[in-house]
Amino acid sequence: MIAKRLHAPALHFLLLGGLLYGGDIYYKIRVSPPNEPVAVTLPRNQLEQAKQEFLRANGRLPSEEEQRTLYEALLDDEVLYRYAVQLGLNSQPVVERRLAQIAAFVEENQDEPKSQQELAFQATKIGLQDGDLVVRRIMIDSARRLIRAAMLVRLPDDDMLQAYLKDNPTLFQRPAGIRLTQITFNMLAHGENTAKKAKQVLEELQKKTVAPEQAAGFGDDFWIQSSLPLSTDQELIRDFDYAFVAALKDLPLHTWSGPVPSRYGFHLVMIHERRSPYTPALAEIRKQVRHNLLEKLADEWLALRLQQLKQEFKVVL
Amino acid sequence: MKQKYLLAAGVFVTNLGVAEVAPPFEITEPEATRPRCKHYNPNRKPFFGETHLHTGLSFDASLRYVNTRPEGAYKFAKKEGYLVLPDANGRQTVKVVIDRPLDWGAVTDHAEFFGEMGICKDFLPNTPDALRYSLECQLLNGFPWQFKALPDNDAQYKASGLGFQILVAPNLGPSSFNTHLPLCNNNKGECETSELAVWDEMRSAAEAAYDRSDECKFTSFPAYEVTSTPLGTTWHRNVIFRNDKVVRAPITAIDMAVKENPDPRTVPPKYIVMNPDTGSGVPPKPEKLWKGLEDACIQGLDLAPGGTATRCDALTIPHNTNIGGGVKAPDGTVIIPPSFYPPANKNLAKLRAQWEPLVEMYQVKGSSECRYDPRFKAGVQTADEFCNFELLDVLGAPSAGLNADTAPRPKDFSTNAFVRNVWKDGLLLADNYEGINPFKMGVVSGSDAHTGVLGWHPENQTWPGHAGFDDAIPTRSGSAMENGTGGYTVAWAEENSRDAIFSALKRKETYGTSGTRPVVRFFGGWNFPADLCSQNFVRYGYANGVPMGGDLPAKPSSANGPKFIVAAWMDEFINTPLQQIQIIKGWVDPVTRQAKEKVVHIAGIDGDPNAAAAGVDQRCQSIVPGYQTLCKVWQDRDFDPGQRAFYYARVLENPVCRWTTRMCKVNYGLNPMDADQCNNTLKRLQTSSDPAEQQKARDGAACCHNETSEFDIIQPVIQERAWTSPIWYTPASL
Repeated sequence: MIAKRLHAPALHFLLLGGLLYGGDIYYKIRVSPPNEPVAVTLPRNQLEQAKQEFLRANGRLPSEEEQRTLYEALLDDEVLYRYAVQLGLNSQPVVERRLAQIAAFVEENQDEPKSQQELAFQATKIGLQDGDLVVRRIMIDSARRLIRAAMLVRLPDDDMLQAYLKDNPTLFQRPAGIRLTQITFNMLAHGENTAKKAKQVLEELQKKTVAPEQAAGFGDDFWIQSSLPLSTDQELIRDFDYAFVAALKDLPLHTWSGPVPSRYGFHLVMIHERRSPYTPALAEIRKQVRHNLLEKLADEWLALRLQQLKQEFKVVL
Repeated sequence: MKQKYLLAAGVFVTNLGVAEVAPPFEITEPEATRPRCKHYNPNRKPFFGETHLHTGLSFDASLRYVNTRPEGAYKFAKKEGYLVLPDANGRQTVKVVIDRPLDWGAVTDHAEFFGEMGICKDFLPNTPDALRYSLECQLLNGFPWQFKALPDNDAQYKASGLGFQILVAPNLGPSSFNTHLPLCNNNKGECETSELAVWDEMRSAAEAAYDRSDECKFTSFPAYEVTSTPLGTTWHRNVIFRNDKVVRAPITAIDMAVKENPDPRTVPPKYIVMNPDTGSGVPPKPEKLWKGLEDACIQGLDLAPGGTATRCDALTIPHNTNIGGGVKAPDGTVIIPPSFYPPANKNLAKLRAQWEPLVEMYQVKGSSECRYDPRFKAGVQTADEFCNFELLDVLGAPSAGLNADTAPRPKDFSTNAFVRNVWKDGLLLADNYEGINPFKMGVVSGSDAHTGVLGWHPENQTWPGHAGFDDAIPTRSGSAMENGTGGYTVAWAEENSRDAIFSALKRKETYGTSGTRPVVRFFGGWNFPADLCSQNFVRYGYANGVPMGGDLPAKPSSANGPKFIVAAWMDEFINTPLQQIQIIKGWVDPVTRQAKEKVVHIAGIDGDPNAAAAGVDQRCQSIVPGYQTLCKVWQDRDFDPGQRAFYYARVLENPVCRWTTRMCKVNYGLNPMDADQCNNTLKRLQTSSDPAEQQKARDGAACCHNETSEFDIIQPVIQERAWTSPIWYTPASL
């Protein structure tokens, strides 16, 4: 039980988060003098506006609990916005372009030529940046992505990945499939003799010991690969046709068989593997498992970082 | 060793399960969220898809009792579920299952009504009664139609149609001051919230359907339809997004208004007609759609939150040029230009070419390739008799007073109602815009069914109609029977991922079909050997020429005419052999400035376009020989290096009974291929005292329509086909 818990991704994350959090505090104490929280005022009318929007959307006012959720969402957005300003994210091109558009719109002397940067600066100076919903959304989104990125670039070890895979097998299940090597005999090249040609080569292959990777040279140069990875019926039907897939059902493993017909002619086939639906081993889907796990951890890290930021930006109504 | 092989191969590794070289397409989906597909093939594969499909989230489906949703449509396409559709009385009794899974697709519900639909379909919890039970909601929820409320339902059927007209009057039909319905204008907050909620459901359904594993079983695209319908003509476009980075809110036909409505509560929308003398006043403004997408999507100024892709990208696909306007009124004037009208300037030509790389060639409402009407023995700027395919007896301009109960004559149509002519027009127009051809489009085919049947085009009696209760028994009326079952868009791509398929769409390496799944390859170049069919012509074609949708490279001085290779393999699931391959050339005579065309039979049997019916017996069994595969290298020996030109391939299958023929024979014992049998049997059913037979007579009332019918022409036997995107030639001097 204890061992299981020790493998729990959540615990690993907490350790990881704790380390980051601890590092953050260490950095602040060691490197920079302790800062007073920055006071940020959240206009009361924003909460009121959010309540009204809720009313319009739901036909009733929010309950106390829902009000708390609304307030938390507003707080999150506000601290993320402030954090984005602190990081200078308002100088990214997409924000600058938007600010320049707004500034150009309210510019008194519209004939005076000004660069995008100048116009954006002007907009920021007169406070248009804080009020524009598009700018705010872009900056909040950027801050959110930046924070999550801190987790997304990490490299969780195999124990964590394995534990996550074990807890969520259905997320990664793969369909049944066949892995094979095929040699094509193109009907457009051989016409009515295509099957005969394929049979001749089959006899040759059966007499010799030919490695599958060398077998392609015995057939025609063709646009479908000789060695095919584990493939579903749907994939093989697209590549060849229904008759080809139907014929595979009866073929033995690890030996050259055929000729198997398809829309393109005939094929000699060696089946290497037949798989039932399965959850792949970690080695096969490490990237995918890592991605899913990191996404989950990134969400949790964002929540924790928001708590930190709320200490740095003291938001008052 | 591998590098050496790569060099020798010229382009790609050919024998690797997974790409080990960078794909030739831009990657906007990070590898963490979109690993390369394990069946990656640098020689590209044919992925069968669908770019045009509606569900019950479309207003005109909802009012006809269609209850399906995008999620169900995607599951249907993947053969993971069935759909339940309304019968002719509106009851949900018709269960349908796709015959074989689709590779990729997009649900494209009408975006103009997302706000109203959201309110009327309970996307908002606790919607106030005044909104939820408004007139608009009653119309959208099909209130005018009630099952057997009256002994004769014709009155209610008409009321239902009137409901449709009322709904589209302020938003789709006008050209200026277009607005939402009053339900939205008077409740903007709720409407905007519900619009986003509907759009969110569409995006979420697309995301849930997308296979992000390296199996790459299915690709879905967030998408919607823009439904601009000035004066009843079809200027519709589907907007397909490349990935999960999409616009926050759809840009729609309302945004295409010439002028924004200053006060939708007091100012009525305006209908604008073209000035016949100056050609000015061209309504509405598709450039507003493109500019809106440019700002919101490409520039990223108004994106929906979330999404894992690196950037937003989109394209727009126009459809139904065949009912796209440009029709002459009885006095000879044109009040609405065709949807493909000459852009006003070079910038607009460029904008159009940039945003519209593709055009829909075929869908349930007929073929838009070309029109040859056997009743008039004439075509619309063509003498190609194979254009007698899936004709619709509709002009698409009811307000011009022309949609009477008689067949439109070829001369009544705008020449630009058909894609082949539009392509020719593009060659002519390029000189006006410093070489920019505004109409240099590739081919897609679509469905446009309003039932959610993504990727299903059965040519038999199982087809449940395309518009809910309205045509659930399609054989009741000629106009419903005229509709087809739609077709596929095939994208040649390295893998089944959004980036790969979208890139194929952008470079036009696509072909459309009328509903079957033949495989077609088409390359053009200057030095193709005569025996190329017997070689690996795919690798040769990519290395020494261009695939469908491409531009021929500069002509080598030693070359005469360009050479093309076309290969086609029949759809073995349907098992209809191929009849022939044709290449169609369009060009402009530089001296006379006349657009010309030529249809060349290059492989197979040079069949008689008027003898399709002789290809099957009375039991619908094929009685003519055909081919499992065809391939041919063809050279244009009449080539003039000074003429702009395009070349596309048309692959014709052997004749088969149309779905209506099978339905009439199986369900009602009426044989449209035998006029005497059909008319006599129908008469007997009509006069029978047996209520069951009387019902059959009502349900099969239109079954005896055929290719000679004066109105609502229906061919009992058709030749299914595929159309490739053209390969283009531009003289070096231009």
